[in-house]
Amino acid sequence: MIINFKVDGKYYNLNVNSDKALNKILMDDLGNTSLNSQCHNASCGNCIVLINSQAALSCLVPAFKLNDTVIQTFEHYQKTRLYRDIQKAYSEVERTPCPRCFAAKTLIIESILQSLLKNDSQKYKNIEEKDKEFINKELSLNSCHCIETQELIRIVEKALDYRGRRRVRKS
Amino acid sequence: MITEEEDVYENLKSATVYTPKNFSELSNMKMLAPKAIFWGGGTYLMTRETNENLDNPREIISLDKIPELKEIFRTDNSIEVGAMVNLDNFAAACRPMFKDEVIQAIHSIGTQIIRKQATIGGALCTRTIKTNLSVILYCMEAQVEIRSLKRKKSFSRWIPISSLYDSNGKLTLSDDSIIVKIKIYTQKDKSYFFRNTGSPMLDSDTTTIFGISNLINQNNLLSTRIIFAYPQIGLHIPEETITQLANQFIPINPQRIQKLAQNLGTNIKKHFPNLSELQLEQSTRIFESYLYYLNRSFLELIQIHKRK
Repeated sequence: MIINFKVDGKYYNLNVNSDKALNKILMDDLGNTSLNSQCHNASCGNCIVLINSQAALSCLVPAFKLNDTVIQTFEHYQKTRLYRDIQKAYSEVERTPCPRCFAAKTLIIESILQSLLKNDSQKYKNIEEKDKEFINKELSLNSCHCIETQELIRIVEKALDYRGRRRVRKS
Repeated sequence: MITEEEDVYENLKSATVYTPKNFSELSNMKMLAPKAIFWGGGTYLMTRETNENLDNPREIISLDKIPELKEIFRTDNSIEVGAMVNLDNFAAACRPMFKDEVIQAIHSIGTQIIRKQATIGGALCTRTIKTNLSVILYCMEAQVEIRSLKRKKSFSRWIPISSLYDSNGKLTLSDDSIIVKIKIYTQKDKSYFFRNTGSPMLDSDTTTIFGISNLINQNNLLSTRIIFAYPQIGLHIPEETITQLANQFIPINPQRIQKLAQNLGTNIKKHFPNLSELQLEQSTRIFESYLYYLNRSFLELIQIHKRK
C-alpha cells in the first residue's frame, strides 16, 4: 500500500504493508532512532509520537490510517518552543528521565499540558489534587521507573506554569 | 536492526484494506470479502499476540469513514453513541448525565492517550475481556444496536448489552454483524460502584472486575444489577444474589452480609469451577466491602439529615 504523510516536516510517499505499525515504519523505513519501542504490545509506552498534534502510541497505529496525517517525533518536537517549557521545568527541578524513556515521557508531559490547558487556560495558577491524579495516571503509560512520581509531578507543574504564563503574555 | 524473530511483517503479504463510506458500501464489501475483519480503533488488533494469530494475507474493513458510527445524539433522558466514538469522547459525552463513579470507571480503562485511540465497538468486540467497558455498560443498562450485513439490504436490531455475550463472556456477535451504536437512558437517582483488582490487559489471570448499580428508595434497595468479569474466564451475573438483594433494607446487618457473600461465592464457584481461589476470594471480598460501604453511606446520610 502507498501511504502519503508528513513526518517531522517532510512529505513521504512510502510503499509498506497496509497494517504495518507506525513505530516500525518510523524505525525501519525512516531510520528514526528516538523511539526505542520494545514491547509490540502497548505496554512499554516508549513509542509515543504526535499525530496531528495529539500524542499516540505509534505501535497501535496501522499504515492504512496514516494517509494525509502529520506526524511529529521527539526528534523534531525538541526543536520547537513547546519543548522549551518542559526543558526549563527539567532544569528547575534538576531531574530528567533516563535516556531510554526521555523522549516518551516528554511527549506524555506535552500531552498532559495540552489537556489541562485546553479545559482551563488558567489551570497553571491552581493545580488540584484530581489534576495530580490525572498527571500520575498519564505518566504511568510509560513503564520506566527511573524517576520518582512526585518529581515528575513537580516537573509537570513547573512546565504548566511556564506554558500558561507564556500563553498569557502572548495573548 | 530487525531480527527475524522480531519482524512480524517479513513473511506477511500486505493486507487488503476496504474503507466503506456508508452502510451500503459496507454490506457490499463484506459480501466481496466475507472473511474480512472489522477494524475500529485498532488498539486490540494491533497488539502482537492478536496480530500474529490473524490470517495471512488478511482482509480488513476499516470502519473509520462511516459517519453514522461516530455520531453522538443526546436527548433529555438518553444518549446514543456511535461504535466508532473513542472512549475519551464517550466519557465526555456521559459527563453531564451520569454520576462521577461512571466517568471515573470509564477513565480507569486506560490513560487519556489510550482512550483517544480505543473505540467503544472495538473495546466490546475483543476475543477475551480486555477492559471493564462491558461491566460499566451492563450497570448502565445499555442497549446495543447490531446491524447484520448478511443480505444486500442490511437490517438492525437492538439488544441489551448482556445479550452481546454468552455466559462465558464470549462475544455472540456473528462475523457478518457490527455494533452500530449504544443507547443509555439516564437515571439520575441510580448509584454505581465499580472495582477492578488489577489490569485486565496485563494481569488477565488474576483480575476480577466488579460492577453494581441500584436505586435506593428510602432505605430499600431496588433495581439491583450486579456483574463480575474475569478476563480469561468470562462474565457472571449472579441472579440469585440479585434476587436476595431485592427490596433489601439498609443498613444490612453483618451476619446477613456474611451470608450473602458466602452464597455469592458458592454460586460463582458452581458457575466457574475453574476460577482461581484468588479471584473467588476477590469477588466475595469486593461484594462484602460494597455492602459495608452502602451501610456507611446510608448512615452518614441519616446523620446529615439529623443535623439539619
